[in-house]
Amino acid sequence: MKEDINNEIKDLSPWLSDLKSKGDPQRVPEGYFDQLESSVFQRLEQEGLRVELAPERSIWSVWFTPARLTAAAAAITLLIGAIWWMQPQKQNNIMVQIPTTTEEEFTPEMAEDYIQSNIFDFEEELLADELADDATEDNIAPDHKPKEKRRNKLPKEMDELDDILNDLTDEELEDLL
Amino acid sequence: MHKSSKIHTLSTQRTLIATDEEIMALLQGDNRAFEQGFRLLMAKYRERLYWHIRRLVQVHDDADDVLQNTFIKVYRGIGQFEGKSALFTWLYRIATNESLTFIQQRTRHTSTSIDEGEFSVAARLKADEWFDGDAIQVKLQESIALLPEKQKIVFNLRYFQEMPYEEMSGLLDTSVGALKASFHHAVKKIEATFER
Repeated sequence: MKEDINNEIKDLSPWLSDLKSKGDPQRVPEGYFDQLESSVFQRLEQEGLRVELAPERSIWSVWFTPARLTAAAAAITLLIGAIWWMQPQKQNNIMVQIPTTTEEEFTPEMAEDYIQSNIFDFEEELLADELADDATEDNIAPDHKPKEKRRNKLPKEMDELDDILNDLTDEELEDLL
Repeated sequence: MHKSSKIHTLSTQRTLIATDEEIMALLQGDNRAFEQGFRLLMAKYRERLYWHIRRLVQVHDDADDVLQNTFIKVYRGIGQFEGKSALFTWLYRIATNESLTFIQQRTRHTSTSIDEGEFSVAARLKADEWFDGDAIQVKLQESIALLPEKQKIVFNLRYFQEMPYEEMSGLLDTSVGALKASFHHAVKKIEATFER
């Protein structure tokens, strides 16, 4: 094809063909085409024509958007909450670890055994209250017991006293007084 | 091979791999894709367009101005490219219009200037450090500058760029026969200028 073109020129004008074979007198500065792109973009910016480009975002900024960070924080909070909720707690443990038996099967001895074996699971304050109640019922003098309990015991004691008084003679009674 | 030459060669190869369809797809994308597509378009066609412009305006600095104007027009108007013609044909027409407008403005400016000699073809070529031609080659450039626009374009494409008539026909939307006749007339006119 190039040969055809040169032949055509030679046929039309031999001296133009000779002139062509001497080479092209027009040259381009070295690196001109490489810097052309930046020159064009510079002019586009100067003329306010260049389209706005969003800044190049790093992988960090792409993945850790405010919405995703909020979601992650919420998920972590829920996870911690769930772990805390699932963890055996001292107060609830008493109820959880009570053997599954019917009311008839659950004897006071079983309760005693259970308390003895799990004594460290009970709160000290709770145990202290229980001990205080026992002490009140068993060890405190009858006069210091609650009035209601004392009232229940009085009739029986009075009857016994009447019997004793009836069995005593007048002389024996005077000696006692 | 020098390192920078290697990089340039690789860059050129990458650019040549990009088809017009790939470039157009990028130009229709978001802003970032658009810019990438435009860079590829410039890299692919800058040299062909430069030489087309340079043959018309003759001086490197003028060719540089016109080429930048051309790419700015392309940047602004790429949305109007409907794909009815080849991408290069569309670019070539913009470059031609920009070159002819530039020549017209230069001619107008020259005709109103007190010292016209300063703006003659010979003077401009002598002042251009990127032109190494002798007196005959300066004369050839002067002869080409006197040709009508269409003959000037046909002569440049055939004589300097060695473009086949078939390709030129698509580019200029002119029949091969008319182009052959146009080239023939241009050669004869140039010869006549030299004989004077």
